[in-house]
Formats: sequence, C-alpha cells, structure tokens
Amino acid sequence: MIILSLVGMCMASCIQDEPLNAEADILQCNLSSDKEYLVTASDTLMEVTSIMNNITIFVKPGCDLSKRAPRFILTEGATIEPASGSVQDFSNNKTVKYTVTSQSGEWKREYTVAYYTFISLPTHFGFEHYQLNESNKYHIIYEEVDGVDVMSWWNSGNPGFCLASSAGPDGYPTVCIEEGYKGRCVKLTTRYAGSFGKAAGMPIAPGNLFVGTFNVQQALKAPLAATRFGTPFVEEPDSIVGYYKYIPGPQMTDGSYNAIGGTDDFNIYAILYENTDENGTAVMLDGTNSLTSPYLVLLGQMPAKDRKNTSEWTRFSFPFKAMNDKKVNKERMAKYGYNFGIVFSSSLKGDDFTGAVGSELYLDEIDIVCKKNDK
Amino acid sequence: MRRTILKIAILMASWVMMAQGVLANYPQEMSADTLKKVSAKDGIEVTRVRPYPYFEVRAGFGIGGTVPFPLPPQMRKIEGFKPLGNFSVQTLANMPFNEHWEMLMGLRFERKAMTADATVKDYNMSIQDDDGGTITGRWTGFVSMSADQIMLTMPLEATYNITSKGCIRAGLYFSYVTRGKFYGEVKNGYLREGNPTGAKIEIDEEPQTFEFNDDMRRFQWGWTVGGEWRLYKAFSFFVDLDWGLNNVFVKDFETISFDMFPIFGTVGIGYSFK
Repeated sequence: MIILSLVGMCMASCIQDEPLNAEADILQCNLSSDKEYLVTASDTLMEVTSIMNNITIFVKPGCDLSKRAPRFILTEGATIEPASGSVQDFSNNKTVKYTVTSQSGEWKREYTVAYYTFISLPTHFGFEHYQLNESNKYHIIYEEVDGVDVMSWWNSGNPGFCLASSAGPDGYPTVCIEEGYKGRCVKLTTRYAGSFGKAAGMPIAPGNLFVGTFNVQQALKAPLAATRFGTPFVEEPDSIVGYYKYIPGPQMTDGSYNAIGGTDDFNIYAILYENTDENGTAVMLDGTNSLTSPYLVLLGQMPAKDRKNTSEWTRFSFPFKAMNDKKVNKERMAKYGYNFGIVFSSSLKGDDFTGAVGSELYLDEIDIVCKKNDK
Repeated sequence: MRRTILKIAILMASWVMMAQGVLANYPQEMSADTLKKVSAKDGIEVTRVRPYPYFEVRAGFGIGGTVPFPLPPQMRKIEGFKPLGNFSVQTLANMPFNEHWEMLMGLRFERKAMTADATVKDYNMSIQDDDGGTITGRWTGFVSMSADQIMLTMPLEATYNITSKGCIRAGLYFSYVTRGKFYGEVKNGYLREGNPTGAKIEIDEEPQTFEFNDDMRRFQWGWTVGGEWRLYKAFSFFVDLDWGLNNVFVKDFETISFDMFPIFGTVGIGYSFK
C-alpha cells in the first residue's frame, strides 16, 4: 500500500513543464487601422478560420493600398514574419505572404494577404477556375476578375467532408469538372459522409456551393450555422438564369440513414439582405436563418415545377421576390449595406441530411440579371 | 466468458498437479538437515522454513494503472482515476533452497483495469465511431482513457525469509493477455486534423469516442516485488507490485506516441499446503 501510494504521489507530482505551443495560426485580423475604408464593418476584427490560407480584405475606393498595416492575433506564443502591424505595400493587386511560426518553432503556416479596392461579385459565373486546397484533397472554386483571383467568394462543405473521408478530389461533394455547357462546370454530388458523419447525425454530405464562408471549426457541432452566406453587393438582382442537369440518386435516406420513399430534389436560391442591424452591428445569415431572417430584402428560389430530372443541359430562370415588405435602398446599397448570397445544393432537404446518395447537380453559365442602374 | 474461466481454472489445477509431480523428487533429507541447522542457530520456527516444497493458493484485489512513465509533457493534469474491479487468483509452487532462500513459480489469472481522466495538450489522438470511421490528429482538452486487460501471468521470483513469519520477494513476471481493451472518449476541446496546423474541429460536451483494442500487445513482462506475512496457521497476507516493462501497445501503433506500462499492486490472502 505504501509503495502504491508512493507511485500515486509520484505520478501526480511528475506532471512535466507545459510543452511549448505547436499551433501556428492567425486567429483574427485586426484591421482597426483600416476602419474607415472597410467595405464590411465587421472586418475590423476579421475571424480567420483554421482552414483559411488566404485573407482577402475589401476596401472602399480612396484607400492607399501601398501603405497598409494589418495586425494579427496569433496562437499563443506564435510569431509572424513580416511583423504584425508593419507597413506593407498591397497596391496593384500585390499580395503579401506572412509566415507564422509556432511557439515551439516546430510548425509553420503561410498566409497570403490581399487588399483590394472593392471588387463586386461578378454577375456571370462560368466556373472555369479551381485549385486544390492546402492538403491537395479537394477543389476550391474561385473567380478571376480583371486578373485578380478572388478566393473568398465561393465556398462549399468540402472542408467538412474532408474530416471523415479518404476520397480523392473527384470523390468530394463539390468538384469542378471539364464537361461543362461551356468550358468547365461545377458538379455537386450528394455523398455518404462516412460512418463518422453518420455517428454525428450527418450521414450524407450534399454537394453544395455558395457565396459565403464555411467555418470547419463548427462542422461537427453546428453544421448549418457553420455555413454563412453572402458578400457585399451593389446591384439590385432581378432574376437568375443558367444551365443545369440533375440526376437524382437511387435511394432516399433520412437523417438516421434509413431508407425512405420518394425521389431526391435539388435546390437553387439566392438572397439579398441587410448586412447590419439598426445599431450598425454586422448581420451575417447562415444555414439556420437564410430563408426566414427579418433582414431579408430579396429572395429568389427555383420553383418546384421547374426542377426536373434531366441528363441534358437545361436552361432555367427564376425571379427575385421582395421579402419582409422591404425595398432596395439605393443609398444603403452605395454604402455596401447589402449582402448577396447564392446557394446550390444537390439535395433539397440536405439541411436535414435527408437525400439520396449519388444525386448529381451540374451547373454552368449562371447569370445574375440585375436591374439597370440609372448611372 | 464462463467457458474461458473454466478453461483457465482447469489450466491452473493441472499446473498444480504437474508441479507437484516434479517436486515429489525433491531431496527431502537435505531439507531436514537444513532445518536442524536453522533451528539450532537462529531459533526460527520450523513451521515457516519448510524442509519441503509447498504450494500456495492466493486471491487478491489490485489497484493500479496503465500509464505512461514518466508522464509525457502533453499530459497537463490528472482529473481522476478509478480502478475497475481488479482481481487475481493464483497458484504458486515454492522450492526452498536453504534457511533463507526460496524460489517461487506460479500461474495467475488476473485483471488489470483502470480508467484515468486527464486534461491534455497537443496529444496524438484518433477519434472513431462504431463503424470505424476515424479522424486522426492532435487533441487538446479532456480525455478519459480506460485500459482493461485480462491475462494469464507466470511470476518467477526469489523469496527471502526474513523471519519465520515474514518474507520479501522479487523477480519477473510474464503475461499473456487473453483480452485487452483500450478505449475512451474526448470532449471539451479541439482536434487539429493531422498535425497542429490542420483544420481545427471543436468538440464540446457531446463526447467523441476512440478504441484501440486491436492494437494491444499479447505478451507482456515486467518486474515484480512483494512481501508476505503469516497470519494464522496456513493463512498469510501478501502484497505484490507488478511493474510492466514493455508497452501495452504493439510496436507499429503510433496514435499514442508514448509507451504505456501497466503498474499494478495487489493485496490478498494466501493459503499454503504441501
């Protein structure tokens, strides 16, 4: 007994010195020095998720991009080179590479920071551009505008699927493929999310693509809230047109992955909403409130009667409707006061993890038709 | 389970019979001489230093842990510890050589099991679900680990009789693990997928589980020390400490990056007979 208690005491007292931190993240970007120029007010303290390697900052015209000094909040003990708060030249679409080194010195992460004078989300999407993520596992779809690659607009649930899958990039829910209506197109496939997803109550991963951010940190905890829609937009959308193909998967399953009757269906919708509340606090809609929020101004959703199963490229078109008795205010719009988001999903009820594994939605040549501005 | 216990009981009984057969040829005259000498010189009671080989059956309960030793720096705080119904039953054969020294060999059926809770930082982990889906990476947060092993152990020890009533022992043991389990759960923390720069996945109150049962080693060995005190007639009280010297996991298992050793103490009652 004495020996045992000696062992016990030794175990307790043998707690060694805390190891140096091995993480090397930028947790937040402090842009208070850019405050007056920021397009999105909430960017003053911009959250940087663990899967982000590109930080894109949109500023209003008139900001001197040759002298910006972003500051970074890092993992405890980590260091950054060039230094946080140092003045850098971001003019002419120059990007600056920052390297974060962990406290332990053992791990490094590289971030590319870009400042752009506000670039509006394009109104035409041909889905011609993609690159592999940092670990070469899945496609990231991006847009190129006047020679600038903007990585921050399109997002998908791929980073979440990545957690539980060993599939190659083509086996992911969201991929860019060559066989488009014109050039490349995007292919969304409802996938089985692996036994891990199943255990977490998320048996399927619908292929999705949306304008917004995906916070992988919350992917297991709150997948819907992890999906945040929209980016500032300065035109009033009127309708959406494009081309699609849809082939539903053979067997519908419910949230517990039990077979149920019915045929899978897809979803395409777009929203315009006020991105600040009455107090000026930032508003960002996510998967839980994107269709019901009181801040919604316009909502366009492809009607059920138009959603057909077809293996031929088929044109679609649907209008926007006013929500919450609101109208687009031109003055507010000029101050970047509205966010626009568009969402595609290969399973209509994917939010409830109901759908058919194998459902495929192909999309190409999408246009946001906007009302002519009296410029 | 019942069948396994029956098999082990038969094994232990046959071990006693076999050992009895071997020891029957033990030169008893020499022992008698020794006995006389000892009795004359030290006045040690004849009842303790026996002139002949003898057997003992023992039953005990244990307390201890399967732990990394020393604790790795990733382990920040021990939050709790609970032994899980550890028992041992054994048969021993003792061969006296002279007035002080004896040799002991035995066969033991035992369980070494425990649950330990800890707060860890940057700890290699692989969380899984029932179907075997896994996410591997570095875990920071709460972890509860249970190691539960049922084994057949053969102790091989030298005994030194200090007095007629008490002795101390030291030696080695060799175990065959008939059932090894290592499992647990993590919660209130986050996993960095792959390495500390990978995607950060937060896990809150809802725990995620892991188990490494298939990665447990079958053969274990270690050193053992102990002591025994005669209580009444053939009954005695004993204490043993088994200290494992090889990792409970197989060589190519990398998820837990440090070696873990079973360190268990047992107390119990023995009964000696010829």
